[in-house]
Amino acid sequence: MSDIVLTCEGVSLTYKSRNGLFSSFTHKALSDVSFSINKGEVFGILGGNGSGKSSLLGIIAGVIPATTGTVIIAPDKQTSLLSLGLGFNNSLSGRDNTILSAMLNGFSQKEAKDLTYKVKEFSELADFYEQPVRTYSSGMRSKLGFATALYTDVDILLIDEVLSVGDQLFKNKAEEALLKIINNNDKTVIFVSHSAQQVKRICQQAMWLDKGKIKVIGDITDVMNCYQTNFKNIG
Amino acid sequence: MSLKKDLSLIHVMSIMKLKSQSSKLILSYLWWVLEPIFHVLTFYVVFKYLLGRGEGDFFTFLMVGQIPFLWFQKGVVAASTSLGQNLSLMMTKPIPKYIFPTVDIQEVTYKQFFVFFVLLCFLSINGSLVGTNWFDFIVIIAVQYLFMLGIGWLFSICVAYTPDFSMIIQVLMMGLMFGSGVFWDVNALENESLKEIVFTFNPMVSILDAYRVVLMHKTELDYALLLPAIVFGLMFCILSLGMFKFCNASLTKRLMA
Repeated sequence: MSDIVLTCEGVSLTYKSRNGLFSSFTHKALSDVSFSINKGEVFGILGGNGSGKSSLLGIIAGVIPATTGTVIIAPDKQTSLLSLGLGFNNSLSGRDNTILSAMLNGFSQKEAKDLTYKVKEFSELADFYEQPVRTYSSGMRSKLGFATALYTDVDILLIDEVLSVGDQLFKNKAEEALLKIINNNDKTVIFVSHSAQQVKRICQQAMWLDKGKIKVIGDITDVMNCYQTNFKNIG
Repeated sequence: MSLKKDLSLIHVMSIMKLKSQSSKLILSYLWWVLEPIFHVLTFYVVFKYLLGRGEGDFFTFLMVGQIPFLWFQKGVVAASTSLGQNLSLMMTKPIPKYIFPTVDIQEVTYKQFFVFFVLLCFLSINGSLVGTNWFDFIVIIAVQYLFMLGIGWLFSICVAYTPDFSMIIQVLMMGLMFGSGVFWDVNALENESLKEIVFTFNPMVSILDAYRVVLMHKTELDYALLLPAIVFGLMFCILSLGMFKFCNASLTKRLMA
């Protein structure tokens, strides 16, 4: 039996935005991206700004429609996208945002309320947990988002740059939690980060995206070697 | 998600919205009731004393017409911009898009319950509630809610595709307020064919007239009066749900552009 939980086949994405009555701007964010991810894997995506990392996560999460190609997710597997600055209602408290996130992931209101105690403890937000999210720093938002995603029991967790901000202690704790996922083999994580070292520590497989195309894909060591050699050469 | 979970989510989201909005204001929840009262008082002073219009118990006539109209106006205007305002949430989970305008309409509806309570208290003191047919009153509220859902959903799609449409909505609402018999009695129109056109093609005219029949005149409500609102409401709801389902991808792309 195959352990593949997610397959992307020839995924392309073209953005078209109107910038006047008769003019529009077209940008190809992704071009013919194909790969598969196994259950329990932590898969890294590397690439510079505008390489298409976030767009790819949006397509996998089912929130951005691909222009061409398909994303096949194993039956009954839920995905959740955790992205800096997205998914929060700034007027609501951390607690209310947790309840909302959990309910959007299929929890009942009571289950969602029960979950808030664990999220409050893991996120280390203390009294800020009851304050509106608009008063949070980016690090605090990251803590809230990560803690909520961790406990809202999704099968495929898509993490977009969330652990790039915040204090080192929390980053270590979050990385530990992700490593636990690898050991338990119960969740699959797709991890996007600007920090190559963070990707190297956490991920087993990785992909390097450049201008919307796959440059290298495979074992983390091989991908990291190519990625770092490229930057050394440029430097 | 199942319909039961969607409804539970709509309820929780609208309650949270109410909570967060009220926490920003010093008079907090009091504004739910104060705002419509100020509206009614302003128009009463303008029409009764400055323009010298309004006969009989004009204040009651105005209240019974304007309070339900404000519910309609606020619900539809809030719903119309809801998709763009919730893009951040939409970008993390594939949430059915009809939920967002419904949350806005539901939030306004929860506030409206308190406003209706104040209106009924006023009418009770006035002695106008004797012999009120409460079943008819609930039927009118349900029909208005259905009509608001249909219009709110449809306008939210229109604004998502063409943001400029939100400007038209503002003008439309202003036109509807003056054309729906909030300040004047549509039954007083002498031209019968014009009266029939107004009652058929502007469901708010029938709805506001129905409120007055039940709460003021105490005559028997002719349910046929509500038929245009039911037909238009259902038609817009079905059309919008179809668009939410079949145009989901293009709606998302449009919102992101």
